[in-house]
Amino acid sequence: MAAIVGTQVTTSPTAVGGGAVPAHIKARPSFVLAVAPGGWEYAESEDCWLPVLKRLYVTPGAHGVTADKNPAQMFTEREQHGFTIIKPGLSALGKCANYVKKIPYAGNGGFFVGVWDGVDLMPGGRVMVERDTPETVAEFGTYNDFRMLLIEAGIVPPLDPRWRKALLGDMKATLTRKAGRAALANEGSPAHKALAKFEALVKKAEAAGMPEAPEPAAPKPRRRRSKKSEEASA
Amino acid sequence: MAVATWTGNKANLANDAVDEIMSRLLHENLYENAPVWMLASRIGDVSGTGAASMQTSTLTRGAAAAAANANEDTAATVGTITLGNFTAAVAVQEYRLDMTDLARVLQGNGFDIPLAVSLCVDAISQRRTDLFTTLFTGLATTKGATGTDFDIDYIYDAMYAAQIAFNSAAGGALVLKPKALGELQASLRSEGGALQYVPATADMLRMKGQMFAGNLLGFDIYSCGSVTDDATDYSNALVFPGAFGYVEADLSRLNGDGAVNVPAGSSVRVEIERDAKKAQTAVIARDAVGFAEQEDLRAVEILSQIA
Repeated sequence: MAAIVGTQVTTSPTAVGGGAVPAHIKARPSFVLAVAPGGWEYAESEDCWLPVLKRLYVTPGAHGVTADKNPAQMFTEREQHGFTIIKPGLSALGKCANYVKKIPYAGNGGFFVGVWDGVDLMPGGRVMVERDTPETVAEFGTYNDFRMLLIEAGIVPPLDPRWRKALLGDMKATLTRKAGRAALANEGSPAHKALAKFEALVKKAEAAGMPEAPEPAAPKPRRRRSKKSEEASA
Repeated sequence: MAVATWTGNKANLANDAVDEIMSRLLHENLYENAPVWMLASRIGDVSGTGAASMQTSTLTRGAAAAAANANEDTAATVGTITLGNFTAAVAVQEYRLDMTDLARVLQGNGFDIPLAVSLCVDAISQRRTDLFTTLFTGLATTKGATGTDFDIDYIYDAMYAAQIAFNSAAGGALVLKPKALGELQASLRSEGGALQYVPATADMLRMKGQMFAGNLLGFDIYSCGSVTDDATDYSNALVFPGAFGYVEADLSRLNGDGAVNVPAGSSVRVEIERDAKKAQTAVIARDAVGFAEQEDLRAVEILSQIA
């Protein structure tokens, strides 16, 4: 299997000012997105459960990636763990099909970010990589739009109700711990504020659903035999 | 190839007596000295195998026997041996520094080939740490939450998840982005009750390195700038022994071609190449290494926001 990443990335420069990321900033390797089986979260801004996208880095010498950047072994092992690999180039993802972009970089190695990530050079030589900037949203939509699209297009299977129950259970365990911490703190302390905020979040998460997944194609209705043929066969 | 050219810069040189003394001293600026890759286990050496990858079998123990059927004629039920495997692929990592003769002469004490060798070897160690931390995003178990500060609760969540998977209750290490470490310290300030946080002492720093930050709930904490991010969240981790491993191809087998292994006995190979035509000397360090996840359940990824 040929290396996937590196052949399908976009190379349009998006660094502000048209310059390159300076060499003293650490390189960022290319990646492929993936979703772990229980890798979901309640997204408050969208009021629904969305998959957490993990970046599997295509770095020779890590995760079985070979010197020629072949990630096949990494994909196989992650799939054995139940991951859904979102390989670049899926037409169902529209503008985000090639979701990795390469930024001009003065250092060695590459500087790869997601298409939702804006790269800005800050005063003092620092580089800020920020998700969902006005420019990236105008061109590619928001990161959450993409996450919803993955479910709507059937690329990521919907959240299994048993996983949802387990994730809510984890949230409630955290809530209990926060309540224990607040009980030891003075009224109005940060611990109380954190508790109230998290309690509201858990309530919303319990009520929230998921983006609609496509309905499976309905089976074709079986043609009923006509009365005549029934009579004939009788 | 990673290449850094190091040439003389007259603007930095001394031009009077006092400055001449100052120019002969060397102050090392702060840098990340966190060889946390040492938390990975050395799996083996692929030298002489004819392959750049090593596949290791995994075995799951722990099955329990059952009562035999009272009817002694019934054959015992057959159990299963649960086998799996993981693969580590070796790839060469390298770093090169070029020094001109003029730079070596003018820069003064310390600025010479041994320092360049030392910097190249540091770069290889740093690269190993980078390879190690890129493995965190591939972990199936994730705790923490996107867009939130690192919190003591996340450590409890990760600890419980690890315990449920039969990890021991202590003995792991937390590898945190420096910002996440700061947020954890802030979170500890509002933590009630007795909490076993042991800040790093001078003795502990000597043993565990500059980026060791202390011990909390039985877990060593390391601050590590190599922890990756996805533009919103850092991918920190709670790592237990046996979670990650690495395979090497021992380049020291190539002895006799003038290169040396630095440190002695290690697999990092350093070569020095003289180019008289350009009055320049190149120092090149190479390391053939591959990191892999050995067992997913022995580590937990912990998210915290970058903003």
